[in-house]
Amino acid sequence: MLNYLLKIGSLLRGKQKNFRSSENPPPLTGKDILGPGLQHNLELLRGLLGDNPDFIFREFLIGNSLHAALIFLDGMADKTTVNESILQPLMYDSRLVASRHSTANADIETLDKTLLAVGEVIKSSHLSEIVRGCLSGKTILLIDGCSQAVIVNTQGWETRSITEPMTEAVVRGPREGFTENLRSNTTMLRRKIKNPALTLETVTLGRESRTDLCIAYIKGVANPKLIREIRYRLQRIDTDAILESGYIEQFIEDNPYSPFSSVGNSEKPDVVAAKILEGRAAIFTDGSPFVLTVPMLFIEGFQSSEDYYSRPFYASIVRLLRFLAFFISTLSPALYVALSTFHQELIPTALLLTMASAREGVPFPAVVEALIMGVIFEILREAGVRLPRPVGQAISIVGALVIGDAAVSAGLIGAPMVIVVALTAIASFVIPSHTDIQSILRFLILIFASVLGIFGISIAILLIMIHLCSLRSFGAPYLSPLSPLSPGDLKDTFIRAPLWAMSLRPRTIGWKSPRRQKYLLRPRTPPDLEKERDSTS
Amino acid sequence: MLEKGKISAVQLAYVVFILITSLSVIFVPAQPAKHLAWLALLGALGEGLLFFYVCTTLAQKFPDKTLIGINDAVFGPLLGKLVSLAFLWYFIQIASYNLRAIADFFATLFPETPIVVFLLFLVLTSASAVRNGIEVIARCSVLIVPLLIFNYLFDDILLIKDMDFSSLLPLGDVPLTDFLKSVHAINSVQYGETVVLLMVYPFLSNIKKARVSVAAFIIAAALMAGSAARNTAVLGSLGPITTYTTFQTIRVINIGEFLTRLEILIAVAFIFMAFIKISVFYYASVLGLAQLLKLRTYLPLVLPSAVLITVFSIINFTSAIEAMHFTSETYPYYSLPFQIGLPLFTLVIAKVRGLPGKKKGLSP
Amino acid sequence: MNTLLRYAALTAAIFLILSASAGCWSRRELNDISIVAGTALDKTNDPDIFRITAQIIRPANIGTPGRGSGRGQEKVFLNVSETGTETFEIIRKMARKVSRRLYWSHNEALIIGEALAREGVRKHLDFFYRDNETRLNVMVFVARGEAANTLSPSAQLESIPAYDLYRLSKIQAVNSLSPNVDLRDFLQTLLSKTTSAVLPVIELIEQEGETGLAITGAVAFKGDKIIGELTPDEIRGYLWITNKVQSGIILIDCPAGEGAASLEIIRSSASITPEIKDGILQFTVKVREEGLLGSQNCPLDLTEPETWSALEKKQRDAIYKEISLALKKAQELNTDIFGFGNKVYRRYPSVWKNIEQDWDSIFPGLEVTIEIQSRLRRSGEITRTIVPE
Repeated sequence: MLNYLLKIGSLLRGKQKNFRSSENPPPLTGKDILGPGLQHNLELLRGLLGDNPDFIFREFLIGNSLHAALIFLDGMADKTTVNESILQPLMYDSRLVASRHSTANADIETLDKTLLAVGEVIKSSHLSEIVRGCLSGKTILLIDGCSQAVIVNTQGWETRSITEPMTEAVVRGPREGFTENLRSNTTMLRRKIKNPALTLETVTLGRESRTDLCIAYIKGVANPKLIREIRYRLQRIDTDAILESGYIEQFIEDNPYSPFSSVGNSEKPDVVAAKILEGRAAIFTDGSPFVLTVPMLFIEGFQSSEDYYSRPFYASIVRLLRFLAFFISTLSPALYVALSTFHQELIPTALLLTMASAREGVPFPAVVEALIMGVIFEILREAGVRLPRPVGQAISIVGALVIGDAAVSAGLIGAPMVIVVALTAIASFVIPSHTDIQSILRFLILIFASVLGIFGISIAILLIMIHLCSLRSFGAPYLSPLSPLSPGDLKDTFIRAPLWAMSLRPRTIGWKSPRRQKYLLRPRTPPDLEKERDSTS
Repeated sequence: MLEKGKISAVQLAYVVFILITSLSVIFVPAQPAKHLAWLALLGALGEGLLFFYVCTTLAQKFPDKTLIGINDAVFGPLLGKLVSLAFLWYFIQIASYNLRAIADFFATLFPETPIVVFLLFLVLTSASAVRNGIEVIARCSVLIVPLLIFNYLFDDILLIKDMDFSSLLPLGDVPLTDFLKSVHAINSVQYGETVVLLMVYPFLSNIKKARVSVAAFIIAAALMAGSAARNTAVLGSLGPITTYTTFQTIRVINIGEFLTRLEILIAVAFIFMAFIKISVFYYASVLGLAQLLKLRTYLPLVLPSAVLITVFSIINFTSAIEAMHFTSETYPYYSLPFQIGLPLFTLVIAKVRGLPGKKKGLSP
Repeated sequence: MNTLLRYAALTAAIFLILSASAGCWSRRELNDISIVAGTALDKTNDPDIFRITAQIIRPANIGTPGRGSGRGQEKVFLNVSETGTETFEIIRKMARKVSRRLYWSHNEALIIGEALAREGVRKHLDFFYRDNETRLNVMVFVARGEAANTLSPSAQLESIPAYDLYRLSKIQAVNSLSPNVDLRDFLQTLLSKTTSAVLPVIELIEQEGETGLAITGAVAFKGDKIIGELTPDEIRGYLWITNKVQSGIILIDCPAGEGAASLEIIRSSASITPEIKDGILQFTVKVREEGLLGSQNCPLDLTEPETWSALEKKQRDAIYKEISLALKKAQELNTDIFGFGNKVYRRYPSVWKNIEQDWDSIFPGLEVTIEIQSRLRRSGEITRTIVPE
């Protein structure tokens, strides 16, 4: 049924037409190359790079007679490296090296091997590569008489330092979060998994943004078909820019029409490392601290990294609490409406009298009340995210209290409804990754409840269930381990079994290599230590 | 095959469980047996297992063929198609009976709402499940069954204080013919309808494991008998005059004035069960029709069948009383040829003709 | 374009149907219903017509605690009555007087007027089981005089008399001097050909110038008509036999005759067993009881071993007396209130088939053996009473 509605929407919007803006300059092809003359090359590059003042063109002499020029982007190239590792050796130390060869190309070889004190060096004569490199913060070295340019990696710009991520705060566990720099993110991952089989494949996407992506997986644990599928889906993307990993997510996900996301994301390296170790793959995006993990199951929203760092009993209770909160958050308003409008017989008498007396004089039907309160709550929540910090706290608490109380006294809303909505609101924050789903489902079930009471709620739940059961995320059924049932994996679903009991990887994800730890790791006191203790007491 | 999904034997067992227990939540056609309804349910288990054995043997003889294919192979192209048509008619009828049953039940809770509303909602939900295929239906069953079992046990425990076990005596009061009539009526409504699985067996990942569902039979029988016994113990002589016994029984639950008014759980459980049952029969008929007409996919048939089922639900019976009467009196005989007659006959003919032939090592 | 049209048409059709059906039928907001708390059935002068009085709650006047809870101010309930020939007809007629739809799911008390009960009450009760809103755990009572009057006492503990009555009836378990009958039990006796019910009697009594409700006894039915009234001892005896005694006081004289002692019943269980000896039907009633010494007003030390056993014997005698009084009254009135016939059916169904029709002639002459096992377990916080040595 959802499909019909969504197809209408897409058809009404009309087909997307592919278009290219005629204002952009024609893209560089591989055919444009440099010529041997330095001035000629400089003209070419100046023409391409335009009048931007942040491109720096530095001409100088290598040795005594060789003309050369450096081109780099102010702000993206690391000035220290440029000055000390390129300019200094080339300008000063070159005088110490006798120029034995006459051809410029051989000169480049000598320079590269003896004078350029930088780690990463590429030679190229294709203009597109040169320009791209320059725009990425690399420095271009042009030498008179040589038709190749040296592209030196001097990337270094201001980035955010590693701080605790705002969206995934934990009580116990590492507080590092990913930053916007791809290299430092992959470094953080490498620090967690020191295995050469941890493979990082790079992909560059986005015509204008040339964003670097990195697919990370452990060879031998991750399913090769999964990696193949990821590569295929990424290569299909042909768009202007990839500004955030969310763009990637929306292009590669399995079910674009479903409110449930089939691609997970996280800001924390330990979470991503754990997921990779279970057999998943991660996609890093340059410029975004959110790393995508694939495939993602519905149950992952209920699992938090803290569960694994604390002891199993309390962790299991908290897990169950999360499920309870999820149901409360999605079902409460609908249940309230259904019970008070259709099924008053199901409410105990004393409660019914209280509710009835609270509803005296309220002008709207319960449904309208619930909808109004729901919408107001969503507005408040969204506003709360954007309010400036000093003002935000005060307004949200005082505002909510005052509005709620005033609404009740004015007779606009009944008091029980305010309580129900407050409960819903609080419960919806227990599972931060599913907040969007909860809001959508809440309204859907509410509409159904207003039509036919509990029957409507059941129908809504059935429709949601059917939808969930038909979803797959990169081949893994979305609702496993619940359905299809794999009893072994249930150890990590509603409860969190102790770590020494979870010796197998989840079946639908890690079945290539199921065993992740030794069996029988349950801690126990060794018998000789016991005897020793007994004898000394 | 028109269906690309595969389900495991365990998932099938879950589906079987729901198929069996579905209608018993509100109505067990055991009027003649009176307070021995629970015993009749256990007796029907025997008959049901027999039917199931026949059907699974037939299915295992033709591991890749649905019922349509089997009929074609055994009876020849023309006669086989006629037999298949009869079965498809039967499946659509069952779907419409069940739809009507649950809509009637809810119409008693919402008296003013026209029954069309319930029918539409349910049938459209089933249509959505059928479009997604048997895999989704099986997965939904796996999610629903724990809820049902919990419901049964929870209610049983809460009613212990209201039960009067002397209502279950005496054991010998009901005449044998009445008892047997009840047994057969129960079997035709609960267990015998698993004949529809002949359309689903080819999608099992391992056909040899089909008999695992016997566990589902036994557990379902135990739970249903327990619930019938509980109803008799709680309602006593009010049982036979009550239309929906389980519903009224659950209404009696009252623990400390707090755990009271729990009948909604039964109603919700019934919606889920009815949904699966209707979906299975709906799916079977749509798939069968598509196979008969040699279509590429059954999807275009889904919505028209929805209309058909809805219309049948309305015109089949003029009142709920007539529906119940039909289920207890006529249906046991009407269903006999489909549930056991034709499968047995097909099996015999297949054996006589030596089907499936020994070609290229395909024999099961 | 084709697909667009097709989907659009389908969606439009579905939406039209669904929106037209958007819950306009069975939807009732909380302020559209009037909750019925209690019902009273009465006879009128016209033999075909009877009256129903429903006690409806006024939610607006319930208010929050501390606000408007004074007595004598706005009443929290409203009694509405109508007359007619059939129950459902009368109830619908009430719509003429009540601006909201009557809602029966929270009806907790059903009071039948004495006069109506003497004429036969069966034909008026169909609605209370057939309707989907009514429930089986309504408490049933018989009112002395007009039942409608019992719905408006002027002083009560709870703000709504019918709920007060429901609680009052549940609390009688501490005395076990009146039965607790809900609709499920009552209807079962009405369905049975031989068993009949015993219902509690309520009436309005004067208390400090105001009227209040009290449960003052019980009446025995035969079929669906009242056939006689039971004294407190007989009621207790009936409760002993049918295993419905939960707690209560047995008053006995002190052995030396100088006062009385109250023995509290802690638990009791009873069973009725029919037996056929030499072709004659006999019944055995076995009662097991445990009690303790609740209080005494005689100066003796009752905890001395001999006195204690004497007390136990007196207790046993008291129970015996209550049971035999109940049996005698039942056989006198010729009404099987204990379910003896049912027991015969359960145990000897073939015999029952033969004697069922003649039960009325067999019942008064039945021989019943009473076996009582009663103990006194404890004496409370003190042993000897508060009397100088």
